[in-house]
Amino acid sequence: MAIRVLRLLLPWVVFAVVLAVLPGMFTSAHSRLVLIQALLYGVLAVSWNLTLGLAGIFNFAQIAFFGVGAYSSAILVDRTGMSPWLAMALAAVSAALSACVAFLPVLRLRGIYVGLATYVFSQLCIYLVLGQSDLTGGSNGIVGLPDMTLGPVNFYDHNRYGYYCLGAVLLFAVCAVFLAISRSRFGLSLVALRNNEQLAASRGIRRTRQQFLAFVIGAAAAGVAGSYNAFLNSVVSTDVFGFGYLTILLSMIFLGGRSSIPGTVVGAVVITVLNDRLSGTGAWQQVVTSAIILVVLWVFPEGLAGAGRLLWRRVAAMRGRDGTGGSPTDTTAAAVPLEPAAAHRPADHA
Amino acid sequence: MDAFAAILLSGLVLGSLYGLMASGLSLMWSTLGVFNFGHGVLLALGAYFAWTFTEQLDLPVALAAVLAVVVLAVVGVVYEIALVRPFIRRENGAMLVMVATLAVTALVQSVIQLLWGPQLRRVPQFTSASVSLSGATVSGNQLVALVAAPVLVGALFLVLKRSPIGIAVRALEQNRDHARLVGIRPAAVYVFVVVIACVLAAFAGVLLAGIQFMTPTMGDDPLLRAFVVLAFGGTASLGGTLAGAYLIGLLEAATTYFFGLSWSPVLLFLAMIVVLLLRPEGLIRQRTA
Amino acid sequence: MTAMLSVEGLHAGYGRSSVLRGIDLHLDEGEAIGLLGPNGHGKTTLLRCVSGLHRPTAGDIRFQGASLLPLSPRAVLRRGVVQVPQGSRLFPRMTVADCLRLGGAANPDRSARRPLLDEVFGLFPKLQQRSAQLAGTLSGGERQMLSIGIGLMAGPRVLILDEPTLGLAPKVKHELADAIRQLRGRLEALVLVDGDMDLVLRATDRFYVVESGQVVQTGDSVAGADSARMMSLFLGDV
Ligand SMILES: Nc1ncnc2c1ncn2[C@@H]1O[C@H](COP(=O)(O)OP(=O)(O)OP(=O)(O)O)[C@@H](O)[C@H]1O
Ligand SMILES: [Mg+2]
Repeated sequence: MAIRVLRLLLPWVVFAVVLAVLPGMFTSAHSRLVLIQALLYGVLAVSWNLTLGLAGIFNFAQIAFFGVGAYSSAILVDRTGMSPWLAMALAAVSAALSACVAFLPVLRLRGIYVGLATYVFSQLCIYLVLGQSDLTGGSNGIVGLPDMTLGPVNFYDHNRYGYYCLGAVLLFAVCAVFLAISRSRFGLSLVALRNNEQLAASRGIRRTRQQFLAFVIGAAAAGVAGSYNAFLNSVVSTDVFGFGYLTILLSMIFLGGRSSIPGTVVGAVVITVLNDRLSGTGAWQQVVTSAIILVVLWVFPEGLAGAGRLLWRRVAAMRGRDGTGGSPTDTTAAAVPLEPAAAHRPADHA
Repeated sequence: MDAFAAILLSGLVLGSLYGLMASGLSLMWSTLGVFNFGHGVLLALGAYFAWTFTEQLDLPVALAAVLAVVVLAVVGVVYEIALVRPFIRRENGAMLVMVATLAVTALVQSVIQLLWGPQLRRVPQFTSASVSLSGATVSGNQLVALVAAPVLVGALFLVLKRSPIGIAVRALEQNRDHARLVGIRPAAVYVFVVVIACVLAAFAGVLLAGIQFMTPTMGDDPLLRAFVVLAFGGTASLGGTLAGAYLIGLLEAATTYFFGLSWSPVLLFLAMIVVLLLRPEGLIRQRTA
Repeated sequence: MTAMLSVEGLHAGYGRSSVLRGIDLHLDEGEAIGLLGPNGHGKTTLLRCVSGLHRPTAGDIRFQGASLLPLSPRAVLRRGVVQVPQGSRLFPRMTVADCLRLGGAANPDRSARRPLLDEVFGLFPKLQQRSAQLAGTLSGGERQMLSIGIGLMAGPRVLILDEPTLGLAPKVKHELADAIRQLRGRLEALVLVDGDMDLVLRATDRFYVVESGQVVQTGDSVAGADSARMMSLFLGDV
């Protein structure tokens, strides 16, 4: 029993220690910023994984929720002078509300149609922001947002040490929430719906309700990330809805391995560092990021997590041990294969 | 009356462009069961190749357009082999294809940026002739678009209806196993379908590049409208798709006229959400021709 | 003399469930064989393996000495092994004429199309009357005739019929049974799977009983007609 608890807790303790130690190792302004960006992307990618990976919903509106969070907190602070902390909380609310709108098509649609509708929704957000330029500053965006503070501490000081800490807390929290959800009845019902909707429904799982919850929780987390991003950079612009974020996040998620937290976090770190190395090369940055997605899809579709599991299994097999165990925070190890692709084919709707 | 003519004209021109895009998308959807999120960048690629052929090689526009379409047909073969074939039969294949086509959009947009640079460019119009219609002027490319969309989509309809490969496309769509038993090779049909979609997108690109400035992202807006068209017209028949395209074009022209450029897309997308809610079978229903 | 078509130790399944567990059978030139057996015991799976629609996990399928396993369904078809699948919806939004055209599309011998079409219309005059009708609007019997017609258009050397009379009323069933017996004389070889034991035994030379993915009994069709084991099979005692 004690050993089980230890095995469960150990990775988290290691994770927390690493998060605590890292800023001591990277003290320059630039490396600190890269680190913070990795945290931000990590939060966003893990929150997206709740719908895309765990629940298997083709949600392509996560970037839109991120943008809604960024814009709503920026507007609130800019217009009312409200505290950034309160604005961050309200960003979560407004992102969750926009998730309600984005979820409307999901009520009636399945599979790839949801991908289409959510993608269109996220593009709609750009037009809304551009159209409401009185409020949003149009294509100029909103600039000069205040820094976050906690008592006398300005988060910008000491090379954004405060932002680092907040980002680390957010990442830790979002990972913990993801794990808790994936182990809960709620999470299991999402997996059941993903694997076989009819079977799940026959056991009394209500698709709409469960997937709606996943959507909203993921969106709220993305909203907080958006708000964090706004204060970190002290500006928001329509870039937050852009293709750049979409490809970066997809590359992280697919490089890491869908629905694996450690994989996603590692993916976030790798891609952030790579992007930093490539900054200044202009369009090459996007070339490399999107090429990574394609290469991962071609070569190892399960991502790093899948490759890691394969390696682990080989090693375990060589040592003559049972090779089914993955890392304890790995949620795909228990996942059953998804429904066959044929279920999505239009011919089946006849 | 002038306003009416202007709305009608611009609506029909937009509808023609969207129709060219949407028929390729709809054909890919009903045959392969995937939405091609890279369709916009294929349009842009067609436009940039046409520009290279007219400006660098000094070819006449019509020839440049044909060459660009041929190049895109070759691109279509690669596209199918690289982005559709590896994923389509896997579990969750539709999502993998979606992600792959999104990734290739980002990739090709950046490559266009690197190869052609950021300057604003245009492809010359097909003809300098223009027609005045109760106050509204129809430019050369608009005229070509108005004629070409129904002609090309009609030709596609006939090909699907009558030619052996067209019959194979429909057979595969209607009964995959039996189609394979009569000797149809799904891989060949898929390549054909993707090539057709690329060709139509490329042609739309050449037309659009004579009407507005070219950018690597010039295909994004038409692609989104084409997705809306699919929701409206359904993928049930090419006729339905084309009708949906004109409807969206007219709706966009009218809302732009009355509510302004920034509101029109919002209203369009809201309309699409409503359609999806009330009539999801607009998307799901099967093609008949 | 080697068999025209032979199945050797064939194993196949779907995912983790195994359906075929070592099937052995053969078909000689000029012969018609029948496959009998209760529902869901792997007959269709076996035929899908023959046509290249399904990959077996072990064993071999040979046609005139060469293995069919590496071949695509199209390549199998072009060698003359033609299957009429069970309960096909056909191509519901295509006309009867287009369906038949489709059947002949992969036939390497283009000049044979016209005579084959005449043969199909001779066998099933109804199809000629209905050639402009959509396949999806045909009755069950007509659909089955069209399905066989599509198979014939490919110019088969071996024709494989999977449950051609499934769910048909007696009158139509007799019509089809007649057609099948006529075909038997014209084709080099025939494989017939059907739930109607009587029909199978009367239209074939030999039979195999497939149960739980294995051949549990085989014999001459005439002798098989009064086998007690066979009777019990169809009285549900399996
Ligand atoms: N695509 C599939 N996926 C999973 N299992 C399948 C699939 N097709 C068939 N099976 C299973 O394989 C077994 C054998 O099926 P098969 O169709 O070969 O039987 P059959 O002998 O032809 O039956 P029938 O007389 O009813 O046509 C059945 O248990 C069936 O449920
Ligand atoms: Mg069967």
